[in-house]
Amino acid sequence: MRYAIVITATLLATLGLMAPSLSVAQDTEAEAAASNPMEIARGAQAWSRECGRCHNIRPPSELSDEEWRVSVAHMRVRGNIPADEARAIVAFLQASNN
Amino acid sequence: MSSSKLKIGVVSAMALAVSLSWYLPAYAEGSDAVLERMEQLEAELQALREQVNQNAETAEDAQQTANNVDADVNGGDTTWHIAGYAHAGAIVSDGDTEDSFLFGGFNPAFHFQYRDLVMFEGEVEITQTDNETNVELENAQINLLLHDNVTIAAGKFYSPVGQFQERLHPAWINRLPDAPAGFGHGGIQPLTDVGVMARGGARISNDMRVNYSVAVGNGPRLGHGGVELEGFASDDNGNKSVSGRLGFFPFPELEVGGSFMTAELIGPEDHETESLTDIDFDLWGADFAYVRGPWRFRGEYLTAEATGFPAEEDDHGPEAAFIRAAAEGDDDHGEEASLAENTEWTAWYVELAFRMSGLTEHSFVRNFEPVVRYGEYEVTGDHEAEEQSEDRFNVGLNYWFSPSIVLKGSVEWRDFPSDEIEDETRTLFQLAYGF
Repeated sequence: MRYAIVITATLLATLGLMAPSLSVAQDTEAEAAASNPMEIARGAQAWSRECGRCHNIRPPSELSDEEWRVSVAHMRVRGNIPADEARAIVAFLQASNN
Repeated sequence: MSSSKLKIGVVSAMALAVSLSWYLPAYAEGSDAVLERMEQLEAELQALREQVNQNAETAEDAQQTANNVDADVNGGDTTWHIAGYAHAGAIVSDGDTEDSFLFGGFNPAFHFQYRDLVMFEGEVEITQTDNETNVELENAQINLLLHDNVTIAAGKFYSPVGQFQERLHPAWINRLPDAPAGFGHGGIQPLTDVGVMARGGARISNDMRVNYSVAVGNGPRLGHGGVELEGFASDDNGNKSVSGRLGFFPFPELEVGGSFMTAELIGPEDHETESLTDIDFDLWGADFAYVRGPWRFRGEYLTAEATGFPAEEDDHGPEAAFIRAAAEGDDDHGEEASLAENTEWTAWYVELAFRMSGLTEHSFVRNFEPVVRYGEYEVTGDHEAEEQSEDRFNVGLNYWFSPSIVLKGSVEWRDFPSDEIEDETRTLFQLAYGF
């Protein structure tokens, strides 16, 4: 079991070193999604599918742009939502919450 | 030229010379003043230039300060969000439970995100008993958003086993005021664990998707309630639990999943070897959820067994008392465990809810939601644990004030197979607010 912990820690450290480059890529993709009408439409569909699976769908006007970003990231983890769908959902919510 | 004209010319020239001699000093004096004034203006202009430059520097400093303050307040690349839920209610029973108003709880949740790299989520549960207020850490996990399809979570997290605990237990999500029999606190569904978890989802086609969660944690322990399936801050036997779930969406409205957990517990002392026994705890389960329009239909099945208890010593059963391995901060250290024999658990439920908006657009009626749920919890093996067995049937009616504010009413029939516990019918009310 001790070896398992060491291997897990090593794996996490390696993945952690890779993470900053991945983060920049994901930030860029998030910005691209926000200005793409097709992504916003895709986000609307994913929003109704994914969010309504466990709880009632919350209207876009409930939260600000920044709050939706965090809230959807939370649900991305909890609901095992692929990140590209989560970005589309954020793009839709941010475009619809005014 | 005549002499008279010459005289006139000389006199005129002299007069002009005299006149000029009077004006010259005045002209010289005026020129000095202009020069002096120009020098003064140049000095003033220079002072103004310096003042402007100074003001520009001050403005830049002020802008930088403002940016710094903005970064401090808004976190720069960090954004955050407070969420959570609260609920209160009442219970009326024809059994041993006293009729009471209930303060169910207040669960604030904090979410912090650094870019699209790290996301922290933490939730505490604040509840009230007769004598004190209890604060418990529900989860506190740092999620590393490594890849579109991979997240690594570290800390205390909700168990990925099944659906109810991880996704449905918050009062504003759960369609009935309480958990199904065998689920939630005191049940067989693992609640939380402390360790690391890898999880994510991936799309196979436009309609099909899979998701997965695999966790390694400190695992459960034996305690007063039998097997305590909560995240402990340390591992009492050094043997890590492994658990996980695989979900599959054949089409977007349906999810089916399978779960497992395997762990080793410290058992009672074996009188023959005079050493603590190792108890194997193995669990597996299946679940489904079908959500389409106003319909919500879901169910879960879990079965688990704890094996490896020492053989009975006499007619009264084995000695239940055992010394737990030293675990710092363990309040149960050295106390008796209620579980002393090989035991099996089975818990399942099915639940159906229908939102009236599927039938009518009436502004009042459309917010009602009838719900029905039936479930069973069966424990066999350990005599004392067997008393937890229960069949539970709920019929409820919800009214949704908003997507996250609901008033629930439910009648609950509880049948206990044990002769020592009387059956009970309860009416439950609950007002829940998710924010």
